Amino acid sequence: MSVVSQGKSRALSPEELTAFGEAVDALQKRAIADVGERDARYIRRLIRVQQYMEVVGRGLLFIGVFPPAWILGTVLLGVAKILENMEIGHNVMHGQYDFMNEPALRGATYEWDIVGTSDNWRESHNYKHHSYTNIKGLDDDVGYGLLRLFPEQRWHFSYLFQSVFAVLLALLFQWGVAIQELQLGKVAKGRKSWPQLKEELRPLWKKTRRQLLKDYVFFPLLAGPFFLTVFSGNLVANLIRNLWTFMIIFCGHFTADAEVFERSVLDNESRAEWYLRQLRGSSNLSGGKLFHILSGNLSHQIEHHMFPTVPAHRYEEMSVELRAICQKFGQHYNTGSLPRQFGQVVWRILRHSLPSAAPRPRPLVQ
Amino acid sequence: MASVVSSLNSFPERMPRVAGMLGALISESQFDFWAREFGSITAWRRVFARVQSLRMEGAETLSIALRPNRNFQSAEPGQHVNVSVEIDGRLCTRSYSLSRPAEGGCVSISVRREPGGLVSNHIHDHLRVGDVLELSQPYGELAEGLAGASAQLFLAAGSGITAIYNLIAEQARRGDALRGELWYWEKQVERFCFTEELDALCQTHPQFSVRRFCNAGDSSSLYSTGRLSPEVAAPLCERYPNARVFACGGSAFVGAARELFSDVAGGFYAEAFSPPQRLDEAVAEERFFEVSLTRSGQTITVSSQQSLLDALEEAGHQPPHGCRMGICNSCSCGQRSGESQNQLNGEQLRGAGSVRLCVSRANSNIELDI
Ligand SMILES: Cc1cc2nc3c(=O)[nH]c(=O)nc-3n(C[C@H](O)[C@H](O)[C@H](O)COP(=O)(O)OP(=O)(O)OC[C@H]3O[C@@H](n4cnc5c(N)ncnc54)[C@H](O)[C@@H]3O)c2cc1C
Ligand code: FES
Repeated sequence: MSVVSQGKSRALSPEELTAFGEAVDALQKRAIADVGERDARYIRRLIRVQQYMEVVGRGLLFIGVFPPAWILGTVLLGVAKILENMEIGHNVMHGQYDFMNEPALRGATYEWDIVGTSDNWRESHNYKHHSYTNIKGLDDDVGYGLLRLFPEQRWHFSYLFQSVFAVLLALLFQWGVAIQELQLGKVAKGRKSWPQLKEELRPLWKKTRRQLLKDYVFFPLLAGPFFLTVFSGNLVANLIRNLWTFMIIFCGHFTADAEVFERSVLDNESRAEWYLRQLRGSSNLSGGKLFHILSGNLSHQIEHHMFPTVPAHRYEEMSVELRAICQKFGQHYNTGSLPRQFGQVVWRILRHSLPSAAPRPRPLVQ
Repeated sequence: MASVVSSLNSFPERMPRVAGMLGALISESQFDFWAREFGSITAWRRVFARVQSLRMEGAETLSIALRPNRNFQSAEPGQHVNVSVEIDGRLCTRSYSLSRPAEGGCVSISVRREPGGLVSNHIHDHLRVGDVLELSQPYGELAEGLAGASAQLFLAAGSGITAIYNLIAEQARRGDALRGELWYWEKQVERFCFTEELDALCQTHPQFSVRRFCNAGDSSSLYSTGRLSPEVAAPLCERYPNARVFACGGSAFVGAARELFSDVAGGFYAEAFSPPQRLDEAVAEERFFEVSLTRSGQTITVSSQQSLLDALEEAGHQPPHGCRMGICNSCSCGQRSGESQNQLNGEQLRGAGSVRLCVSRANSNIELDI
């Protein structure tokens, strides 16, 4: 087996690997068997809270000339957008609520409330990122084609300025997500034709135009003389969501102990090895219930990567057993507070803008 | 099962201006959500219906009068709707025929208790006046047989009476004179439905009569005995040489009726209601099913031992997919009817819903949105 890695976890023997895979599988099976009423109630309640927040937020912005109303309205709208994007949209698109057979919550057709299209996301995120998590060259999320976050990525002088790119990406995160699947780098290098790009831009432009008109023309126009207070509130709410999602998502795979992999890991990769790669490539954030919800439960990135189709609000309870399994098999369970994990991400961005040497790889499996 | 017609009555079609403006600000599901928050069953496109009243018909059948929202198209006599109810967090969908004639904006369905059945028992035990259900648009072609002047022969078994009663009662409501007979089989005397109504129709329509068959217990003169057989059918065919024949019931009953009456001059119109077959998990033998693809209009044959994705690809289709291991959901696709089973978690999907093609197999003939 050509699986290589560095890091804090020990290499497993083939028998241990099988046992590890079975333990994780059993945990997943039990959770799936229990999915039902409780999960449906949960997501319905969350959607309700999110809808009310959005309406109250937008309502307050209409009287936003009064500063406290503007501030509260903007924050409520920002949080509503975060909930729709993360705990609802992202998880629904993974098919976590397909069991409900509810057309509005069907993973394959859900359209989320951001500038990028859900179809692009399902391709770049659900398929590439989740199947090829942290595999250099296959998972576009490794640095988003823009940043060098691991010494295994080849250095280039343009990476010297990557802290600036990172700040821009954070501020414009939903736009980054929107254009990721266009793979503009390929166009620049001539590996993708202009007509093809134009073809792909069409649905994106349709979606983007709708989102822009809604937040920056129609809702402000509804407010009449208060056009600007609504406009600015919407702008700041979108900014809040961009920064928050950037922070949470970067903490998921780019902390100090998160590992990247070579393409060769895919050769005959078993289900157990796949689980192991998900575990080692992901990192969690510790926090309270509210924090987990606001992060779309991506604070449980490890569980999310191992069990992407299990309703995410179950990750917290599943993590107890998963941690025990990891401990039993000597695998590092990468978790920490947001400041600690995000600090490590920032350090990676700074450190690897300069040339750095990859540590010697160690086997994942003996 | 006929596919669900797209709604021609939906809110955006009825009020394009208003919908255009609203649609720029909110999504379809937000519209539906807020309508419901304000206690209304109005929806952008979907058909929701409120339970207006409940009444028992015979011992095991519950009639439900439903007031659908304005997205519902008017139904033809003898049509069916797919009814979705939420059970344990899941929307479960089954077909039911319209039964009592439409009245004051309400349509009725009549649901018979199916021993061990999920939806029919849920409806009997938990449905209350004021509850909200989802409906499909009405479908079914039995009404095609109504155009014509010859006598009508109605054959109903068990819950097949619902669609047949609707055909009869809707004609009477329109003022048409009924001419012909209804032959109606039940396994037990207590199960006969719409008895008073049918007897009243016989009074007002002298050329129409009802004959009830029951082979169990009570041998009173009210009920004939015997199954649908050549001996029973022959005198009928003689009496009504040009009759149009309508048959509804389980698939065995409808099959027998088809054999006996398919070449009567007036035409044969039928609908089978059989509960779908099940594949016992222990039975690993290979079976073959038909998958109809609603978008491409094709039908392919698949093996029960093959994932739907593999089968589709083998047949030259290229459904979108990604990981092929049930993770990414890229291959998820709409199922309209039939039963499929997710091999990862063993979950069975009955009727409408979404299937992950790469990890699902067919348990019956199914219809997919491809
Ligand atoms: C066009 C059409 C019109 C119809 N109109 C009517 C109507 O007007 N009125 C009406 O009452 N019905 C009608 N039906 C039938 C109806 O759609 C349902 O099939 C019926 O109500 C049973 O549904 P259920 O969910 O209660 O049973 P299901 O849960 O679907 O079960 C069906 C049968 O399978 C058995 N079963 C369930 N699970 C298993 C298992 N794991 N292993 C083995 N066996 C199992 C049950 O015991 C039961 O006998 C119509 C059907 C069609 C196709
Ligand atoms: S291809 Fe991924 S779920 Fe089927």
